[in-house]
Amino acid sequence: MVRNSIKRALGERKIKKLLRGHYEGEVLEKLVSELYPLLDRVGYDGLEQVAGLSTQVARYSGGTAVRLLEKSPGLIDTLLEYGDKELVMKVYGLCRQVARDTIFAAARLLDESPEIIDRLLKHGDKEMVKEVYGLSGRVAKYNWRTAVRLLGMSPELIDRVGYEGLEKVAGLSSQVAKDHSDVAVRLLEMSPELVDRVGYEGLEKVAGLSSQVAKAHREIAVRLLEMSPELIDRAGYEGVERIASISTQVAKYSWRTAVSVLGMSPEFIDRVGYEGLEEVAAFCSQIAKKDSFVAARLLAMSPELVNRVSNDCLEKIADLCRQVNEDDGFVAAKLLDECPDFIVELLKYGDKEFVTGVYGLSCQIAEDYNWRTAVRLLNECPDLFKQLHKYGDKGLVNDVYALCTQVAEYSGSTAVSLLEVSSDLIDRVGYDGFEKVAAHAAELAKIGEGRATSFVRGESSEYAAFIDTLTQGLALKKVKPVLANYLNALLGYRIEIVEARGASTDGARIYLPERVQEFREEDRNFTMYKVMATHEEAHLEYGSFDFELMRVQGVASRLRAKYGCEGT
Amino acid sequence: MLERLDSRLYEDGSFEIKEEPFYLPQGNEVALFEAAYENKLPIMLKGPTGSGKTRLVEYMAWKLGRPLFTVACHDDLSGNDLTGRYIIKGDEVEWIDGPLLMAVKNGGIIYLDEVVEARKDTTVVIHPLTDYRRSLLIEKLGMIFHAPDEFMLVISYNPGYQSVLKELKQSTRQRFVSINLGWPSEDLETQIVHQETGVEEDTARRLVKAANKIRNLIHQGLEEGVSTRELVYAGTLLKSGVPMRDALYSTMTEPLTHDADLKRSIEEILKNYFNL
Repeated sequence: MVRNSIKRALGERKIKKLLRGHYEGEVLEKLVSELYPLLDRVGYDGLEQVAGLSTQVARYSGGTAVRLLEKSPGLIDTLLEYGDKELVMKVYGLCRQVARDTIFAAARLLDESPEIIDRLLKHGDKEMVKEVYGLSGRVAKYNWRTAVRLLGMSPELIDRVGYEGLEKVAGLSSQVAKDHSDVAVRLLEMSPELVDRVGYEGLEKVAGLSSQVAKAHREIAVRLLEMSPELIDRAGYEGVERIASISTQVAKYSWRTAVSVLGMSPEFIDRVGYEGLEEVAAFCSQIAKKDSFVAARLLAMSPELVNRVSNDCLEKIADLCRQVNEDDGFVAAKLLDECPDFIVELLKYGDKEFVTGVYGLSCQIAEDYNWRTAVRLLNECPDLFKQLHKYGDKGLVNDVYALCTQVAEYSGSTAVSLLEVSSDLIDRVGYDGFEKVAAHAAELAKIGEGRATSFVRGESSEYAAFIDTLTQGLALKKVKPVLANYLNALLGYRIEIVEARGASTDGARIYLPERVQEFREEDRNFTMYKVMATHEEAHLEYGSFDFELMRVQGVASRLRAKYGCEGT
Repeated sequence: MLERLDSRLYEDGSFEIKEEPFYLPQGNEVALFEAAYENKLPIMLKGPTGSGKTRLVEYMAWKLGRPLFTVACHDDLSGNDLTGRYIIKGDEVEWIDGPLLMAVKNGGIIYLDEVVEARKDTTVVIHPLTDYRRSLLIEKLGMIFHAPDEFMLVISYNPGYQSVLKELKQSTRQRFVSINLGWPSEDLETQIVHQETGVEEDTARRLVKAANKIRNLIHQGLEEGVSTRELVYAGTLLKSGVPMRDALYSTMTEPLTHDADLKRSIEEILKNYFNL
């Protein structure tokens, strides 16, 4: 009895020594009395671990530390049911390592340890449980998150790759975790699937690649890990390496864009192959230098656009959106979203080059003039093209746009005005006339943008005079030699053509108007002349004016019957 | 050239017209030709380019069963080219008969196409063959060849085409029975184009109508009108699938003139008959 008292007093003194400095008074007494029964079961070194953890926690939260100590007897009882003192020491040891960085995670880990052990025991024996805790403890030297995750995933991993495999995975994760804990955790999470698909060697390669990529940006490495099973399936390990390299390059400018590139890579590879992906990635990298939002958004749209338009066109679209985005992100996003439908509409009137031209002009106008006008012009394009299409085929639409683009080299606002009035102008003076107006506008723009723009809008005095010269029609003297030969051929003799107010003939001459202005096109005006000349010539050729007595014979007989008398 | 004039070729039958040439008479030219042949009279065929002079001679040669010796006359053609010449073969000098002598010897038809193009001395050579003498003097041989009854001399001549300097002398013209071949009538020419080319009769008729209008421009800018031969070419091109515009312009416009206004006028005439 005395011996027991002495033993207890000595034991309690040792426990107090462990706890002193953080607890005192009644709390200390209470904790000591609660922990004392454990002394026999886990020994002084076991209690030292328990107290050590408590002390670490107490630095940040006394209450938590007390609660932890209070729960320890019950918890240790449970742990001892699963294993021995060594297991208890390893569980607490791991928690102490975690507690160096986060006491809450450590407390939670401690709470969850029975459950974890329970799960582990389904895949192995008590010794193995201790080994797993030991392994996690070693990983925790580098990174607690990785260690905790390793512990959590170890049942599944053991199930798939056995304890040896788990050790290897843990080793890999530890290597990665030295620099990038997030990547290491994700590697652990992905490892069962990756091991299934590519085996341990493949996992090793992916881990190495992820570590490499993580140097550029850990988000990309994480995303690469997440996508690696799918990417390996589609492109093999070498393909994954190539994709990783492309993403790393893009990451120099924007990690968001790089992540997007990674995410979209399977779709790109399917549609345009690696080369296409490389081109789009390089191009988006350039955009990303200035605006990662536009680059990422464009990248999202790219798979849909890449088959429809050229890379040049994508560049123009991006450049326009970048300029718009500087002022209004909403409009820029809308512009990008509407791109696919808009391109379909544009392709009705021309090829990819034409679409590039349309976006190119808008880009230029946004740069030289203002982006709002550029966007408005772009939105008006379909209606404008419909109107132009009334006066010609797709070629006309293309030609008009090409002319306006040329004018835009000298003045953006003049080009916009020219495009806006193009259908009206063509209606009045034809495409030839429009071409002349455009050429004159370009000349004026070299002198002054305002003068050129007001000319195109019809606000300047020189406009009226210029249009008059375009609508003068076709002069007779220009076509007289041709008509003279033509009439000569029809009639078989030469007949004089004389200028007059209208078309007529006196038998010796054919009179034709001085000028025909019925049509915009010279050819049609000539046809008008030809019709008039042929009509007059036909009177002569077929004898409208020939006097033949036989023609009036019937009339004469009727007159005689009615009014005449015999002998007359 | 010398080879072609070698009389041995005739021995091979090369100068015989073995198949009946396609020819539709414009009038009584066939009967006139036959009568002249029967009476051993030379013939002068007159008519514009492509009006069927050569085809008539070929047809008559076939019909009369005589070999035909055709000579396309040109600026450098001399009397010697017609009669023959000595040539050196190794160490020997050999005489080669000209086409005229070949025709005389073999009782064939000699056809001197566009005779006024040839040098003046040719007329001296042919004169004795055109009258009652019907003989050919070959000075270099020192011989006179008398033409057999089957021999016939035919020349062709396009009065509107040659310059004044190359006009055929009255003394020559009046040694021949003259057959004038103008443009065939519309119906006849339509038949010719239709049968020669296989184009639809309607197309052939429109070609002929347009050609007749264009022919009104002769001497009003055009030296020559659209020949029947060109119409046959046009029909052939159309039949072989050449686009109408190309077929017509390349046969009925471009060969006639280089003048832009005149070409435009001709094109406008063609547009009256074809959808160009």
